[in-house]
Amino acid sequence: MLKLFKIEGFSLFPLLKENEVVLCVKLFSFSKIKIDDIVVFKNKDNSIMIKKVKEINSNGYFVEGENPDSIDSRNFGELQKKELLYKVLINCTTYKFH
Amino acid sequence: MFNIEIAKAHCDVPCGIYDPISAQIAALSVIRMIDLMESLEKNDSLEYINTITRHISVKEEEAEKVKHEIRIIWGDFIKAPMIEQFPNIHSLVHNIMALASANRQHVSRAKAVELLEAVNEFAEIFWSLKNVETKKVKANYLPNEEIVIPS
Repeated sequence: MLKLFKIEGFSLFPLLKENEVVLCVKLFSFSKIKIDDIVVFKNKDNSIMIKKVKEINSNGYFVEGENPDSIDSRNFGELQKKELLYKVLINCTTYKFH
Repeated sequence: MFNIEIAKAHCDVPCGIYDPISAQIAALSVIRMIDLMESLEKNDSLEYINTITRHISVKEEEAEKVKHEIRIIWGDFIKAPMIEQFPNIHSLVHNIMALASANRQHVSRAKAVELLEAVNEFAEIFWSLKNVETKKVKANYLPNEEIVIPS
């Protein structure tokens, strides 16, 4: 259900910085995904990628990085819900316990 | 459950090959062209006109190459967190652009050396971002000016 991921790369900077660790929850067919959610999915080369949901349309979920040169839906198109594996709950690196 | 996996937040489709040495060699070439131009004996012969024109042409090309090579590293390799680390990077790159243009406009050894020094400063920052130690060495060819290279 819950999984930790370590960020590699800068495409989500300043939202998520390289080497930061995020706690994610597994997504199911009934899970709610909304715009601005940060989602984890498998790329075509089987590597795990993380991006932000920018738009939800009839073709699926359009995900983007925060930077103009990010590799995202602008390159590979919309993702289907079943392709989205996890959703970020908290950034463990910056989270403050009160 | 709590194994940490890598999630890629990658940019670009980079070749991954970045090296400021191309810009440094181009800056050295600008100095070399100025030295060659200054060493020529002025006369009206076609031979002289041909030679000086070729030197001017190469100086133009190499100064432009400095701008091109620095722009690639600045635009493609340098990312936002690196700018936080080296906040002077933008003004340094702007200075390199201006100095390279000045070297196209003028024939000034001092300006050409200034260009090389600015490119060397950029090289120091570049290698530092890659956690690579650097050293200053004299180039093994004319004009034998100092360049910053990985140690």
